[in-house]
Amino acid sequence: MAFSNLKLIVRKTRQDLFKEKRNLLIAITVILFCFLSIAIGFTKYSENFSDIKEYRKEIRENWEYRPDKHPHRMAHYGYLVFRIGHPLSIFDTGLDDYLGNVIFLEAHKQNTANLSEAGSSGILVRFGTFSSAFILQAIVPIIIIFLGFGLVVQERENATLKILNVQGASARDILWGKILGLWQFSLLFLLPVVPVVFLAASLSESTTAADILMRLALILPAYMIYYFFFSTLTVMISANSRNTSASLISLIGCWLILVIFLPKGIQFASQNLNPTPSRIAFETQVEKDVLKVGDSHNPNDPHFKHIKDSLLARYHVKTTDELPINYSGLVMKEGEKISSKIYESHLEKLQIQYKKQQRLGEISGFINPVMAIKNLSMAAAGTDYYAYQNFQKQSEEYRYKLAQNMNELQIENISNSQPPPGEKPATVSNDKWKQFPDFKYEFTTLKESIWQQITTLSAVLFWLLLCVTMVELSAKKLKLI
Amino acid sequence: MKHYLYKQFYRNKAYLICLILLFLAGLSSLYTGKKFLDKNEDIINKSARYQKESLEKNIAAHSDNLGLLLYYVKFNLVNKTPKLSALNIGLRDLKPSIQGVTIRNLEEQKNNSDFFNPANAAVGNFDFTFVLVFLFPLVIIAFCFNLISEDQEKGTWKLLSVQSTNLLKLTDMKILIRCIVIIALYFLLLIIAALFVKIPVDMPFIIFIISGLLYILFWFVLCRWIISFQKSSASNALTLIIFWIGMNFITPMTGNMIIQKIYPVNEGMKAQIEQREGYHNKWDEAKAPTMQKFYQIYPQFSKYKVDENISSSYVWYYAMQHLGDVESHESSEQYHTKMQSRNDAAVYLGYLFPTIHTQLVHSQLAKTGMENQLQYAEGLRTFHEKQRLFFYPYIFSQQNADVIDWSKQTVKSFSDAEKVNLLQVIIPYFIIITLLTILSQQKFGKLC
Repeated sequence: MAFSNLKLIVRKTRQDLFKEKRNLLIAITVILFCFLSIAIGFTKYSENFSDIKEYRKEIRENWEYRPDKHPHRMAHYGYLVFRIGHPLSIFDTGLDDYLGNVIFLEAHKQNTANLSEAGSSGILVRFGTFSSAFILQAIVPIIIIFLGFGLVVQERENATLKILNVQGASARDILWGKILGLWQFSLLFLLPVVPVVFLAASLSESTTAADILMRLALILPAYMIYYFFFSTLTVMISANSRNTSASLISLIGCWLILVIFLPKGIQFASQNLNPTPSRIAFETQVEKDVLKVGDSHNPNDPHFKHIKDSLLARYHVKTTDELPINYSGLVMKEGEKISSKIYESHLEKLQIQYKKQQRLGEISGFINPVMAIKNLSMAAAGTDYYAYQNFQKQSEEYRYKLAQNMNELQIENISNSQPPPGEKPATVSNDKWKQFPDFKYEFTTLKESIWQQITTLSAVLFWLLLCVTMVELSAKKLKLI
Repeated sequence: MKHYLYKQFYRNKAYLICLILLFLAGLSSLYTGKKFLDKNEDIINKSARYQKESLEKNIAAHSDNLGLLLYYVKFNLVNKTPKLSALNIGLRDLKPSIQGVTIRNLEEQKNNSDFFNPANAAVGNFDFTFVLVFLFPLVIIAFCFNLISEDQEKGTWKLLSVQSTNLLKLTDMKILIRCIVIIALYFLLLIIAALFVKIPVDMPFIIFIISGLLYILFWFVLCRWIISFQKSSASNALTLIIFWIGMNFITPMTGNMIIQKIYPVNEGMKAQIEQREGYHNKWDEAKAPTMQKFYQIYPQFSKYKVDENISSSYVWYYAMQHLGDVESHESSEQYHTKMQSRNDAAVYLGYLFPTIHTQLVHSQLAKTGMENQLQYAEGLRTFHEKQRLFFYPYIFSQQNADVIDWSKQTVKSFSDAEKVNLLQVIIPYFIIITLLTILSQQKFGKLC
């Protein structure tokens, strides 16, 4: 009858936790805090979303109704693209506060995404962002610890542990029973939050319900495993402690190390192991390299001189003014190609450094389950580093397309000779502006995010396996008295 | 008796481990700060060279065309970073301590952020203020949570009450010993910081020290109040940890979220749009109204006339650029006001919560907070205007590059002169410490 013994202990543990009024009060408070953060997050998100929708519309209209003008002016007029977080940022803000929200896209120049929420807030933002994910990741574990630190050790202190054993419950039953009972109670914090998140995220109307559902379908089991880890940790330490206060103190210590110290320490290490250049150093280097290859503004630059000579030869003309196509447009097109390539190669180097920093964070998920759940939760909520990188990539692609499109318009439509003074300069009809498509930001798909975070995903599963093994192994060594 | 209490303290291995861990955490925070400062100094030192190189290169390429030359050249303004910022990095990792601007419109350039890995920024810096605000209290809690309850649980409390005439004095003595040890550690770390980072002992540093000291005292007084309830060790630990979590996480985080919600800063984006429209629309408009507006702002340039039929002119070009700034000025101001309001709200919140107060005061003293950022933004605006007004006459009168003494165009620096009011720093601590002392005195009075 081992199975029913286990069932009995699970039920008893769970019911004891439920019976205590204080525990229910804590649970309700925590859930209310989660709801509060979701509610504030939701209103903030929807206000932000409607503002950004308006800004996007304004930018598009302004673009389309630009009068006829020289395409190069249009290339400098450029485009402003706005980022909007995934609606699940209501649940897990992830890096959202630290990401730039607007990029100015123009010819010849790659601008950074600016105006992050953190940059516009004071020091207070450095305490962290309040979100359901934070509560579920950091606060609920400490509650699990407080609820469960006495589960085994107290029974031993009261000498009821031996009695249980005598009555037929094996050490394995006792450990599993306590763990599962505690775990089932801990789900009380998690389960009500998920449907509310689903509702709020769906109401924001920025993505499909199916997308949200799929993401939540990943988030929910991940947190369930996370709580299973903390339930196991709590019961195991409780089982191996001399007395209740020793158990509590060591558990608080564990929480501090896992939730506070390790994440900071790993970030500290990764920053120092993989240093990155400052913006000013980066830009100077790019400028230098661009000049090395070819300066599109210098008429005698060897790279561009070569292009000029071959063009003149191909069209059998003597000067660039006689060419049937616009020469300076062509030069700029080539220049854009060169500078973009150089910029991208430098950016790639920078991003490799960031990626290395990122990798260390992911691998640390095997040392620290808090890091694993943090990374996985962010990835599933579309607020992680890769999602942001995706935004930057999409906008850079769009910028390049815009600059080159304008250069092509210039090559085809603008004459080489300067208009005589007093006459209107050469222009291109504004129909062409309308033909250039709008920027459409696509959220990173869940599949892509998971693919990027495969290490994290395996780390979560690793902790599940480790917990089960640890319990099975230590069941034999449980001290009953 | 005292001697015995000392012995009891230093014989406790757990205490010693706590102190060593705290000391190590403190040292690594100083290392983080030093690293940050070194990197920052390196960037600033190199920027002088970068600016010189960029100037030389552009002068060589466009010496006959000053308008085009100044289209490219960036002039750097350093936001002076006091040594004290090694102890509180604040916002300086997000916001660059040096910014280069061309004399074209400012609005487009001034928000350019530095490169940083958002994942690292989100975790936050392990600086000295973090150690002080987050970790010192934990050790204080570990030292104090069972001062009375341990004796009660071991059954020695009764014994003590028979032997000692004044249990309150005994408990206070114990707290005092712990307090002295923690403060000694605090000063040890500060001395190391002063020597290792070479922080000058000036007024800001002294206020910094005082504020930290009061913060430590606050936690001891809080612990004294909690243990005066004479609950069990586990209950004390629980209560104190809840206080710690509440003040270090829940309150500032919720506060931040609500502040962000109350003061949305979309004006920043609006300013971007307005600046871009303001400038670019001028290309399609008649030149006369643009010039009219420009002359109104700067009458001294009205002698540089622009012919309506001319295809391009630098007078007109820079006038258009400047009007982009003018037309987005209102939104830009609003954006700054919003940031100011966000910060003010945080300051008020800080009056109630010493954790927030300490963070804010330290960042203010180290010039790494929002106050400094706003001042620097203002400084950048003045600097930009000065540069513009210096170069405009040369550009407008179509001078050659060699009439300008370029050797004077070095990297300039800005230092914000804001002083911190000592009373404003200490009064919030003072009130809460007094309050807690009175409360615990009452409790002890009843029970001892």
